[in-house]
Parts: sequence; C-alpha cells; structure tokens
Amino acid sequence: MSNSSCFFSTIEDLLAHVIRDSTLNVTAQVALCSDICLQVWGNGNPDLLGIGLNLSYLIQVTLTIICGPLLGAIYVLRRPLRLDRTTVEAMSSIHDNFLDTSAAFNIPVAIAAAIRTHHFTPFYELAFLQFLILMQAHSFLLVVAIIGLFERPYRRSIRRLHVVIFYLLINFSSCIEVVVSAATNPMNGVLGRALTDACKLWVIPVSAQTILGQVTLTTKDRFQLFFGRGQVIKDTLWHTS
Amino acid sequence: MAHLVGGIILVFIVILWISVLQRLELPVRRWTLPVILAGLFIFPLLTGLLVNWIAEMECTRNEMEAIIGAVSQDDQWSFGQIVAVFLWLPLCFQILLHVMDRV
Repeated sequence: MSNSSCFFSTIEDLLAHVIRDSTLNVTAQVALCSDICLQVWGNGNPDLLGIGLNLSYLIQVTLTIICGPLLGAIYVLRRPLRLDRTTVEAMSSIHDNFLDTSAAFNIPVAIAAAIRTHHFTPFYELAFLQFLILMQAHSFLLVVAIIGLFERPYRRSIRRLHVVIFYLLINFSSCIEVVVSAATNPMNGVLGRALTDACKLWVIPVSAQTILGQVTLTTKDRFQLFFGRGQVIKDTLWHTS
Repeated sequence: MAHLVGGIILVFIVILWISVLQRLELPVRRWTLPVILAGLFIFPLLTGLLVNWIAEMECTRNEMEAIIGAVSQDDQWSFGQIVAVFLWLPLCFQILLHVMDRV
C-alpha cells in the first residue's frame, strides 16, 4: 500500500533521487513507500518476459535441439540410415530456415534486452535477461556449428556464411552489451544492496541473492524451482529477516 | 566476466570449426581425428549450456511468480505474445510435413 508521504511511484524515481542526493536515506524512503520493494524484485517488461514470449523461448530450445545436434547427427549418419536425396535436401532447407527465423527472433530480443539493462531494471528482470540472452546466443551458436557438416551440393556458399557470421556477431555483441550493462546496473551495485537491506521485511528472491553472491543453489533447489515449486524454496531458502 | 570470455572463445572455436570443414571439403567418412574430437566437444558443451540457461530462466520466472503472483502482468496474452509463438509455426509445419512424407 502506498503511503501518502511517499514521493516515489517507481524504482527509477527513487534511484534517480538517491543518485542526485547522496544524503537521502534509502531505508527511510523505503519505509515510507512499501510498494517500492515489490518493484525492486519484479514485474518485468511483458514484451520480453510475457507468457507468449516464455512459450516461444521453450519452443526455440526444443527446435534448436531438433534442428541442431539431432539434425546434424542424422545428416552424418545419412548413408547408414539410407536417407534419400529429397530427405537430405529437406534437412538442409529446414536448417537454413531455422537459422533465419532464429536470427529474426534473437536479434530484436537481444537489442531490446540491451536497451532494458541500461535502465534501472528490477532484480528479477536483470537475472532473467542475462539467462535469456545467454540461452539465445548458445542456441544460435549451436545451429551455426552444424553448417560445417553439410557437404556438396548442400554446402553453404561463402556469401551465405558471411551473412550467418554477421548474424552471429550482432547476436554476441548484444549479448556482451547485456552482460556488461547488467553488471554495471545501479541495481547490481551499492544501491541494489541498500535496497535489499531496506526491504528486509520482504523476502529476497533466490535470483537476487545469486546475483549478489549471497547463495549458491544446489541441483535439487534448481529442479524444484524449474518445476514451479517456488514456494518450497521460499520456505526453505529465502531470507525473511 | 567469465561468461564473456567463455562466450568469445566459443564463438571463435565454432567459426574455426566451420572454416576448417569448409576448407577441407572432405566427405564425413574421411574426417580427421581433430575435427571429430572438436565436434564431440562443441555439440555436447553447447547443448548442455543451452539447457542450463533455459532452466535458469524458468527457475527465475517461477520464483518471481511465487512472490508477485497475481500482481504480475506477464500472464496476459497481448498481440506481441501471440506473434512470438506464431513465429515458429511455419518451421514446425515444414518439419511436420517432411516427417509425414517419410512415414
């Protein structure tokens, strides 16, 4: 609930004021604005973290495994498997189409993530965007690595290779930009620590603690989180002091 | 920082691997041992990292859903969300049609 003496409606406002006026006490301000703590943790940008996008990321990973290592292994074993020419041509075409679709999806997401991490990004979004951008870069790299397997007449032309390497470089440079700007984001530094201290009445998410180096998750914890059992982790791991 | 250095090294290894294969122009059955070893190193490593990052993403998402729950605006289907899913549809159909042709 917002307090009438709270002067900040968003985390950006609060941090901008703290940066301008170093005498401002973060703990005192947070005590007046309880909504601020919720913004410290979450509610990211739906354009990058929405339900459809999340489903799209899962489809991307599934298709990467199908069009990457699986397709590569089937191509290498095409003679023992006695695949006909039409099938091998189709495999080459599927791989090429996946590369283009992947680039059309990855590059805008990577650029949008790089822009987002230049702002005061909530902990949740900061953690999510770093994992997202690394996932997409590895997905693209995995499918690009298959290009080398194709032999004549399916071998890609040098021009096509240049285009793919251009995609790869844009993708990785945006990825580097996200990781660097996330590391230098005000939420990841002294101000972020001041906010986590000030918001002690609120639980500290594991992602925030991981960023701040306060916890190391076990494989069991990760499995529980992955299968949506956040509450279990909340009860056992989160600091509620 | 380690992620950055690791990522740059991985990109160079993959580009080198592609260029070696392109230059050699050898059929698969005549690949040299270093090329096979590089392939056996690159593919499991990249697949493992990919699965790790998507798992981390889903963990972060589930965790925040446990905290903010109904406050989250992430569960609303807007135009952008639908476009993101439909982006993969032509490729899925292409794979499906080729698989159906084979069966």
